[in-house]
Amino acid sequence: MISPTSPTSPVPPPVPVDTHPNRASDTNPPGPDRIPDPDRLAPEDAYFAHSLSRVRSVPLNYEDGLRSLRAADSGVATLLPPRSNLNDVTRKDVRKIGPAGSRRRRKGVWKKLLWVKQSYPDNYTDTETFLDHLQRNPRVRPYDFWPLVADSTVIVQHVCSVVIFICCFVGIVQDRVSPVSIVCWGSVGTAIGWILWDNWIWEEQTELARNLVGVKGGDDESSSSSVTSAPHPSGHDPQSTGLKADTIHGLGLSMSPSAHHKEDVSHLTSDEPGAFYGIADPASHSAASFLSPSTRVPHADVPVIERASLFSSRNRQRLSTVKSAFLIYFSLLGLSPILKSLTKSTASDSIWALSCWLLIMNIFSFDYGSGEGAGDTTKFPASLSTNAAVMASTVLASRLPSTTHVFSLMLFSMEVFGLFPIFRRQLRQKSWTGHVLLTLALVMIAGGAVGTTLGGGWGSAVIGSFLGSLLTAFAMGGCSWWLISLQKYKNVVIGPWDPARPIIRRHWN
Amino acid sequence: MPGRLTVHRPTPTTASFTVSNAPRRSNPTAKVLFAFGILLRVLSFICVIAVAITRARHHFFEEGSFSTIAWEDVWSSAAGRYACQLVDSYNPSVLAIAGTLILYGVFRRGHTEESLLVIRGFGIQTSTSSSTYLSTAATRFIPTTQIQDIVIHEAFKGFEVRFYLAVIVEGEPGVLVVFPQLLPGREVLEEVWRGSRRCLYDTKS
Amino acid sequence: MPYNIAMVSDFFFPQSGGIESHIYQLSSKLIDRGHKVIIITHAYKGRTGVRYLTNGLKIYHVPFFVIYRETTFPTVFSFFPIFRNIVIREQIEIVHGHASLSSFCGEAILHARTMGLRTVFTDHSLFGFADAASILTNKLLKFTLSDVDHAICVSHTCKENTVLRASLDPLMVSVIPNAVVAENFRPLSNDSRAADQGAMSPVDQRPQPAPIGPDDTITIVVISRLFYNKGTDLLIAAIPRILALNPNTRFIIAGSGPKAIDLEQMLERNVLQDKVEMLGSVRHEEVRDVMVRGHIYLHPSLTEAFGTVIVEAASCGLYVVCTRVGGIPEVLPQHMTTFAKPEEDDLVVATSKAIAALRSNKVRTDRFHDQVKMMYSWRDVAERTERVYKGITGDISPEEFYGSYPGQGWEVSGDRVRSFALIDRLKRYYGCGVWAGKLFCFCVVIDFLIYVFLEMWFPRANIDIARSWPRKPPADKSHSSNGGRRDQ
Repeated sequence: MISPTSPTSPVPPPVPVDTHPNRASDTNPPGPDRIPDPDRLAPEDAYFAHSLSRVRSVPLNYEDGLRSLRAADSGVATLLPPRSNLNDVTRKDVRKIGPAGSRRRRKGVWKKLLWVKQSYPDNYTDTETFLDHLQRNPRVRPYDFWPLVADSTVIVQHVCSVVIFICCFVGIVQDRVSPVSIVCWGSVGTAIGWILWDNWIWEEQTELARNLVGVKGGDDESSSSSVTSAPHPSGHDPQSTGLKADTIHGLGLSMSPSAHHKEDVSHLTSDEPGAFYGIADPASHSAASFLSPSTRVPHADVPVIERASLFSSRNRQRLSTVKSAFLIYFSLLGLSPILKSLTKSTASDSIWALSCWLLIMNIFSFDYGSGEGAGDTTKFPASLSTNAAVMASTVLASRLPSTTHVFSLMLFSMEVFGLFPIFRRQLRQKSWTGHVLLTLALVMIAGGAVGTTLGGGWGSAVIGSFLGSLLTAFAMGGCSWWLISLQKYKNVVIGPWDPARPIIRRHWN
Repeated sequence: MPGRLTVHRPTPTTASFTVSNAPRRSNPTAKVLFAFGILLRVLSFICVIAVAITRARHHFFEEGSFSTIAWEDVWSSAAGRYACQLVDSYNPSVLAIAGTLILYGVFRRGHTEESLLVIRGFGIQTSTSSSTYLSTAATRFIPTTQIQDIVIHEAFKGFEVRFYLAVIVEGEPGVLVVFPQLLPGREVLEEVWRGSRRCLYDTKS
Repeated sequence: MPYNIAMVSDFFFPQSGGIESHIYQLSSKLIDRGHKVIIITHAYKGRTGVRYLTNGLKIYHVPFFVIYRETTFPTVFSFFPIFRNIVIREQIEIVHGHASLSSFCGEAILHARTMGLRTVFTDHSLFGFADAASILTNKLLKFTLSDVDHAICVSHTCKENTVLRASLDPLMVSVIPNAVVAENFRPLSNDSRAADQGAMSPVDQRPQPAPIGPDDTITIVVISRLFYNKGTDLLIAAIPRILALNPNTRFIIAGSGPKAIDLEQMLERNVLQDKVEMLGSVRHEEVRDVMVRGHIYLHPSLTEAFGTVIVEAASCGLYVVCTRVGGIPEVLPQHMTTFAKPEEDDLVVATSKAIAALRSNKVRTDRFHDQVKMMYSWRDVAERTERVYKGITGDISPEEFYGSYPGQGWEVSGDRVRSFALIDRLKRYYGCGVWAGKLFCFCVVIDFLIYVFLEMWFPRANIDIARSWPRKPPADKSHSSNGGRRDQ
C-alpha cells in the first residue's frame, strides 16, 4: 500500500503515513465487539452491522455499472464523470508525480489523508477506517455495591453531625438542655479527640523519620523499616478501639460520662481550645501538621533526626496550639454579646430559612475526600463549607437569650464543624473499624436526638435512633444501588477530536 | 399601496418625477366616491364646529358678544334646545378628544406624494407631501455643485430589504434618500435614476 | 448549470479568521466558476446593510444582537422574515451555512428547508462530547443537521466527529479540506522569480539554496493565538528545554492571548529574552513575512480540525513540527512534518529531531512551496463543493452522488434525498431524542406556520427581485467594483 519513492521525481511521491490498525487486520472488523449497544450510535450501525460481510477492497465493488468501464482501463475519470475536469487536473498532477505512483494510486486503497488527490468521491466513507479511533467508556470503572456503601459512610457522618448540631440548638432554644452542659461535653470530646490526633501525628512523624533514616541506610535497611512499621497496625488496634469509646463518649452528648472524663476536665482549659487552630489558622497549621507533604518538608534534608529535637518541636507546636486556642476562646467570649444582638432587627423566619440554606450549602460543599490530594478533586474551596456552617451557627446563636448561650453554641459549632471533620478524616485513615463504629454511633445519636426533639423522653429517643439507623441503612443501600443501576446509561465517547491533555513536567519549579 | 410614477419633462434639461400612492380615479364610481368623501369631510367639520360652539355657548356666545346672530333665539329654538341637552350630557374631555380626532381625520391627507425635480445647471429638489392638508410639503434643494452622485442601493427596513434612490451630497455624512416614505420598487427607481442622470449629466446611460 | 448560493454564517469580515477567509475564498472561486454567491452575516460595528466586495460578492449584514465573540443570540424566528426576503429577492437555490457555533447558520438552514431550498452545512471545528457546553452545542447541531441535504467537513477526523455528533449518514458528509492561497505564502527565495515568471517554472532548474551549516542559527516560528487549546502551556514548558538542548536556536512567537503573560514570565524566569522574540499579534497579511524569517514552524495545538496555518507554513518553505491531534496528521505529507505527542518531552525530542534534520540538510524545504501549491488550492475546493451542489440539486443522480453499494448495507437509510414534505421533515426531527425530538418538531411546525403567514402577509409578488452582478463566464473577465452603483 506504499507507493515507492522514485528518486528522480521532482516532487516526492506521497508516502501514506497514516496507518490504521484495522486496515492491517482484516479478520478483526471494528464493529460489534466495540459497540455493545447498537441503538446508541445510529450512523455506525448502519454499516457496522454489515461490515462483516464486506471485503477489504471496497473500491472494486464501488459501482457495478462502472466496473466494466474501469476494466477497460479508461482511467480515473470514468469513476467520476461529473468531475471530469477536476480529474483532468488530478491526472495531470498524477503524471507529474510519476506514472508508477498514479497507477498504484488508482487501484490503491483509500487513505485517510487530505493532501493526496484520491480517486474516491468526497463523501466516500471507508468502512474499515471510519471511526476506528473511537473509544467508548474507556476509563469507566464499574462500581461495586459494598465499597460504595462503605464510601457513603463519610457523607452519613457529616449529615449526622449536622443533625446533632441542629437538635442541640433546638434543645437549647426550648430550654430542655443546658448550653453549658452541651459545650462541656463537646469540649471534653474535642479534647480527647485532639489528644488522640496529636498522638497519631507524632507517631506518623517518628515513623516517617525512621523510614527516612532507613532509606538513607541502604537497601537492606528496608526490611528493618518494614519490620518497624509492621507492628504499627497491631499497635494501633487497641488505641483505635480506645479512641472509639472516647469519641463516642465525647460526642455522645446524651450518653453517660465515662470515668476518665474527670481527669480530662483539668486539662480542659488548656487542651480543648488548642485544637481550635484548625479553624483559626487552617492554612498554616493544619496543613503543616497533618498533611503528609508538609511533614516531609522540614525534615527531609536532615540526615539524622534526633528524637529529642522532634520532641521539642512537637512541644513547641503544642504550645502554639494552646496559645492560639486561648486567643480564640477569649475573642469568642468577647464577641458573644455582639453576636447576641447581631440580628435583632431580623425576623426569626428569615433566620431559620437562612440557616437552613447555609447548612444545606455546608453539606453539599463539604470536602468528603480523604484529605490527601484534596482540593484538586473538589470544585469548591474547603473554606466555603466551614464558613457556611459558622455563619449558620452565628445567625442561629443570635436568636438565643443570653451571652452564655451564644458563647456555648458558637464554641460547640466550631467543635462540630471545624475540628470534628479533621478528626474523622484522620480516624478513617487510621482505623476502618473505628470509622464504622463512629458512623454507627453518630447515626444512632442523631436518630435519638431527632426523636427526643420531636417527642421528648427516653422512649422516643430509642425509637428515633432505631428508626434513624434503619432509614439510614436503607438510604445508603438504595442510593448505592441506584447509582450502580444508572451506570449502564454511561456513554462516554472519546476520539481524536477531543482536545489532547498536555503532559507537562513542572521542571522549573 | 405601491406608488405610481408620473414623469413631467417640459424641457430636455428639466424633469420632474412624482411618485404618489393616491388612488387613481378613472371610473365614475370612484369619482362619485371621491366627491362623497369630500362632502363627508365638510359635514364632519361643520358638525364639530357646531358642537364646539354649543359647548362654549356660556362663555362666548351669550347675548351681545356676537350681535350678528341672535344666539338667544338659536338656543331657545327646538333644535337648539335639543342640541344643548345632547352636548351637555357628555363629558367635555370626551368631546374635546373626539373633536380633535375628527378634525384630524378631516384634514388628513389620505395619500403620500413625493417628487424629485431635476434641473440641469441648478440642481435637484426633493419634496415629500405632509400628512395633513394644513401644512406644506417638506422640500430640500441641492445645487449641482454639491451633488456627487445619484445611486440606487439597498438597505434593511423592518423585516425587508428595500431599494432606495439616494443622492450623495458633498460634505454630508449621510446620503439623501429620495422618496423616503414610499420607497417605490426597483423598476420605478431605475426609471427615475436613468431619467435624472440623463437630465443632470446628459449621459446615455 | 450555475446556481444561486447564499453563504450564511456569523463569521465574516471585518472579523478575521479561518472560517471567514474560507467563506470568502470559496465564494470568490464559485463566482469565478459562474455562480452567483451572496453572503448573509450579522452586522458588525460600522458594517450594517448591504455591501459589495470586489468580484460582485454581495454581503448582507443583518442587524442583530451580538452576544459572545461575534456570535449572535439565537433569534429563532425573528430572522425568518428578513431571511425569506433576501432569499426571494436574490432567487437563492442553495443555502450554505458555515460553522456549528453560528446560530445564524442553524436558523438559516431551518428556514431554508421550510422554504423548500437545498441546504449544505460546513463544519470547521471539532467538539468533544463530555462537558455541558458541548452537549448543548451538539443538540443544536443535531437540530440543524437533521434536515440538511449535505454536510461538508474540513478533515476526515472532523467528519467522524460531525457524523457522531449529529447522527448523520456518513455518505451525506463530504470531506473537502481548506486550502491556502499559495501565492500569498511564498518562501523568500521565490520572491524575485515569481514576479517575472509566474508559478509554473520547472522545479529542477532552481539552484539549491545555501545549506544550513552546523553553526548557523535555526529560527523556530510559532504563530498562534496564545490560548490553552492552542497548546501554549506545552510551548511554555518546551521552549527552555529546546533552547538548552540546541544552541544556535532562536524563537519567534507571534500572537496574543490570555497565556501571553505566562509566556513572558517564563522568558523572564529563564532569561531568554535575547533568544525568544515576541511579536504580539500580527495581521493575517503579515503572517507570511514572519514565517519566512524562520526555518521550522512549531505548532503545539491541542485540538485542530484542519490546521490551515501549518499548510501556510509549509508553503512558506518551513519544516513543520506539530502535535498529532485532530485532523493534523491528514494535512501534510511526512517529509514536511515531524509529529509529536502532546507531551512536553515528546515535543522537545521532535523539535530537536527536526533541527538535526535541517542541519544535516536532509529536508528539501525549497520544494515545499510547489508541492503545497499542488496539494491545496481554492479552485479545487470550489470544484468539489460544486459537485456537492450538483448532487443535492439532482444534477447528478443520487446513485452516482452517494454511490450505490448493492448488498452492503449502505442504503439502510434511504433518506438521503431529503424531501420537503412537512411530515417527512417532522419524522426526521422526531428522531432526535425523547424530549428534544418533540421540541424540535414543535419548532419546525411553528416555523412552517410563520412561513405560511409570511406568504400571505408579504406576498412574493411584492418583493423586488434584485439585479444580479453580471455573471462571469468561466473565462476570467475583470470587473471594476463600484460599490453598489449600477452604472455599468
